[in-house]
Amino acid sequence: MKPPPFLLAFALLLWGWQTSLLPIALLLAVVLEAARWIEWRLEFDVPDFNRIADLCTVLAAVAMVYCILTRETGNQVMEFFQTTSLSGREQAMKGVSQTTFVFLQWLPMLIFPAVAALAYSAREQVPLSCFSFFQRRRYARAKQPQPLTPAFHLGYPYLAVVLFSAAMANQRTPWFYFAVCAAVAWGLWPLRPRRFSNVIWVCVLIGVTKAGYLGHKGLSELQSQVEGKILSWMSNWARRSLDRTESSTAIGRIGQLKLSGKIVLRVEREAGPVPPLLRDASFSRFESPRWFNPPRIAEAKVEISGGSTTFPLLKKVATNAVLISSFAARGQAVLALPPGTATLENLLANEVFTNRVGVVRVTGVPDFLQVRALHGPGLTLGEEPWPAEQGKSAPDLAVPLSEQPAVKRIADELALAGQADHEVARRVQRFFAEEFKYGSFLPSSLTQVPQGMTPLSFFLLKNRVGHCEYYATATVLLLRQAGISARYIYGWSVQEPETNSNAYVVRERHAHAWCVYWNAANKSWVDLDTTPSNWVGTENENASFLEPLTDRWSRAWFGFSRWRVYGGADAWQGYLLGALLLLLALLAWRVLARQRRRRKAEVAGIEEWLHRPGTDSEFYRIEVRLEELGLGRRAGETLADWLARIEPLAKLPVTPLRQLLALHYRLRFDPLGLSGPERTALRSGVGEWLAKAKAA
Amino acid sequence: MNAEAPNRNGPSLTPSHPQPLSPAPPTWLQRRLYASYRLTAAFTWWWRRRFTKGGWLVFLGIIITGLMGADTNLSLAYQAFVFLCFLLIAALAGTQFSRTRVEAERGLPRFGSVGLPISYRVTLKNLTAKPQRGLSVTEDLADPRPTLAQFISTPEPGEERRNWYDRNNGFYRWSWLLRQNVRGKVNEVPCPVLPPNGSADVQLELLPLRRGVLRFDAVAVACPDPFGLFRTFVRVPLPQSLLILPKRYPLPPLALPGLLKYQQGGVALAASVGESEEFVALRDYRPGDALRHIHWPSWAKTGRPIVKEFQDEFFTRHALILDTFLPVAASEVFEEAVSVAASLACTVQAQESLLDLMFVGPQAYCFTMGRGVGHLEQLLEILASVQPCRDREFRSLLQLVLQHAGELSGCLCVFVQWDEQRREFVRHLRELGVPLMVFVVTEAGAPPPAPGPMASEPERFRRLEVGKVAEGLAKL
Repeated sequence: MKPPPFLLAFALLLWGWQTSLLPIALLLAVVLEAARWIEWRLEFDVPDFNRIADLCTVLAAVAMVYCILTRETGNQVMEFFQTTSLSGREQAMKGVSQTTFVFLQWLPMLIFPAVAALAYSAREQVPLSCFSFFQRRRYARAKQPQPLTPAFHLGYPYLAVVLFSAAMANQRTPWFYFAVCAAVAWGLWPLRPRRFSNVIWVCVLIGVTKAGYLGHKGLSELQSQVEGKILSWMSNWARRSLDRTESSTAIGRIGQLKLSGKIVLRVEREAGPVPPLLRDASFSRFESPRWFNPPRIAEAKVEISGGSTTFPLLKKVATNAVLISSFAARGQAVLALPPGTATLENLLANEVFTNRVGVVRVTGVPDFLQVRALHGPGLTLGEEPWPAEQGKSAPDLAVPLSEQPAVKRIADELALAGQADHEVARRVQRFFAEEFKYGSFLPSSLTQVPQGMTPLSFFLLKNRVGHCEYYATATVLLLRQAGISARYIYGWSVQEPETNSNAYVVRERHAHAWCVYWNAANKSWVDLDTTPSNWVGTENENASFLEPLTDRWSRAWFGFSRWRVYGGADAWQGYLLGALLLLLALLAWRVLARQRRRRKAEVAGIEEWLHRPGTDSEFYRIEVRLEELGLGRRAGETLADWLARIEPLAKLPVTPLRQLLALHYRLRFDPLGLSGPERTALRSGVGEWLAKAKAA
Repeated sequence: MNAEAPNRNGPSLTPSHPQPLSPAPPTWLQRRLYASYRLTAAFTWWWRRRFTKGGWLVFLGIIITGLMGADTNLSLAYQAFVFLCFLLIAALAGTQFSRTRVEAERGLPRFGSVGLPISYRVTLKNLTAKPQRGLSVTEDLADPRPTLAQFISTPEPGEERRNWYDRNNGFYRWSWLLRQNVRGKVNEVPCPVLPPNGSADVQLELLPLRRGVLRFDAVAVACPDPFGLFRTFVRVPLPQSLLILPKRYPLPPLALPGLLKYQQGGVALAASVGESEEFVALRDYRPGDALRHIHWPSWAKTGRPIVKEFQDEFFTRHALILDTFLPVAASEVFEEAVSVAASLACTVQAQESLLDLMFVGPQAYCFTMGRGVGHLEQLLEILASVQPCRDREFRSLLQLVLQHAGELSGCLCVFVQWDEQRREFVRHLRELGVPLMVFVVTEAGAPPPAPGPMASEPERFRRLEVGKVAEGLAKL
């Protein structure tokens, strides 16, 4: 059944409004609705519809590939399988969903060829088998024609698709709901049974609309409440979040820490050594188990210098260079950089911001980033320590009250008071190296940490086993106890060279935390990593056996992404569009050629009918001659009957005509026709008879 | 009654569903599978019947928007989801206000034939004082779901070729049995407005799909909801049955094999049913006379054997032999063989000869038709109910035919296989001098069988391929 006039146009305009594709929507609507007034129709046959269905499939496949390539879908799928945190999986799922939603928004365009073909076809319905590749193949193999039933009109299914795609655009306008209700009601109106009055129909529909309105509001509210609850239960373990105001640690948490082997960064050496640590963010305040910064840290925009892709961060000469590749999410990223990075080159970003704790945030970047960082000793990112606040100690010197007893005791044991900065650092490093072990199995705060003891105190005084966050936090607090400004840093440890390459890979499990302290002489923050150096080996033991496989994929994906963004692959979209247009042209040509062939065949059929065998029979000359003699054949009279009738009347010999007539009949109607001598006999016989007739 | 004493009156009608062979006690798994298939079939039937096309679209919309709108922050699909849900709920509730009270009367013809649509009338009477609009009418036919015994012991043809899992879960067997048990389809027709306490006629069309007895349970009146998405059904119980005759193919006039044969008992026997004989005179016994023709009172009176003499009648009498020996409960080949037999019976009937239909079912049957004895309708009724014989041997058919071989002018044999047993059967009849015409029905695409004993008369040996039977018969 066809939808009522203008309903599809209304739905398409709603879709265009929601997806910001209004010009396309207008075009599609005009094309579809114009079919009601244009009487011109094409004779689409089942094979034509098969081809159009194939075209729609190809369009959908191309659109899907386009979606995957232009958005970070492949990455997100990888992330979903590789990440170990629930929130990471949720983020990945959301990313995949958003890509899927973009694809779904294009559905009305993708299946439009089929709908338009039906609209301008002499047929009312499309056989269902046209849309099933397997069914078509089955019939083709059996050499049977495709069944014409079941068949359906595409109008209402297309309406549903258009409304669904409009909903995918997620333009949260209150009118959308009512527009959808109106479209559905419009579609249902012609289908309503006459069993109920129109008044009842309208009243029930209004009731349904109202209930639906309240229902969807309630559903939305329910979800936000449930999400709030869940978020409050789950701490954010995502390392790559753009929020650098705080960092939640696993200090005090129980059980085995698991981080995946997913490759998050690639570092390639260009000049000088590869830095062992890449800083991501630093924090000043500790409240177990969180590290955070004072609120409202102002960001400073970095001005472009030289080329449009060079951003100077520090005014110093840096000779070392590394190329860091990573992925960005939704056009933004926080860069993990070597300490002392002076300049960022080859950075495709609209804006670069830094703040006083040394975080470098970029916006307007492609999904894949490859930045050259020029770095060297000396000045580092991040300004000098925070000044002391009124009545409080400076944030970079503060030791939480709960941790003070343990920290003071260790500081006293190590006799840190009054020592020079480098001596304090040396003693602290030796202390951890000699008396502590690395372990990612965290103690249970309920079973092992005694009452009244914080997890950090337990680590410092009793357990002496922990992961990098314990070491980093303890080091920061010990240095502060010794009067040195220190901060907690998290970032990445660069240590795993990639096979067959001069690059290093940084995996998620290489996420690391360490301490930096302020060197007033150099006006720089100096790294102090006290975590036992065997931590990498311990973490690598947890590697999945599938890691070589995922590494290959990751390497390929990095390579592809680099080609897409930096490798001059801008033209591929043009090629894709060109290929699509070519495909469309090919289909149009095939359909039109088929029509032309059919018309030719029809004309040929007519011509064949006109030139049916035997029309050149000489016997017709006898008929003409006899007609001239007034012995014409009556309408509907067969030649045999005619000859029988005129035999008594004619003064000419009719008897030989019977033999000629037999030959004539065979020439006309015998599928085998006449043999050569028989044809000659007919010709000569007629000639002789006519000669006799003329003579007579 | 047994194979040695064939039933000349024809068999009683038996149900023509695929019959279980020897029910074995079902296992626990089979019971569970059967219950689940039965439940699923009921649910599917309910689902397909209750939802209109619009309802299907709305339901699909609910599923898709429900999946894509699960996160209300990502899209607005949840809004459409909620609206469609309420729309469907309103439709479901609306059907409760749509129900009505009606009476129905059905006028069925006597017979139907496979593949030929039958139009018949149903009169609906409105039992309320309000006019009834927007109703539509269809039929509730007998439940086609197989019984547990049928499910357990009726394997699908070719089931042994399926893999272990498919053989054991029985899904394909269930689907096949379900299709076999569906004997016809009745369309759904909109009902004209029923005036208050008035009535209206509706013409329904039945398409018989399989031969046998088609049972009607009730007339079903569909009452839609306000939106036309869902409907409820008012059932008016009206049990009736209709015999569906086998499919018949048009045949050219058939040159039947054989000559006139002396028929003891003559036309009188042919014209009546039973053992009546036309007595002419008494005469002395001659060697070779049948003992049962001895007139005992005269022998007692005269002291020498006297026999009864009957009027001699000569006319043609043909046997139509239907091969029912198949290892499966139903097959396309068998159905086509029955159709060929029915088509032949229809053709021979017009030729004023006698025709004995012989086949072996639960017992050996011989039904005589023609010259006033038996009617074509009765023969077709028998053919409508004939089933494959899985518990007897082919030999029993030979015994049946041999009993009548002396009276037969010729034989029309319809075989479902062409194996050594059948060839031997044909060879035997040929040795007895019975002219034969052999039809072998084969699977579609099967290689043509060698004529074997019919090689000397290839024009009397016809292979009919499933799907091309009409063409094969038209070439006769």
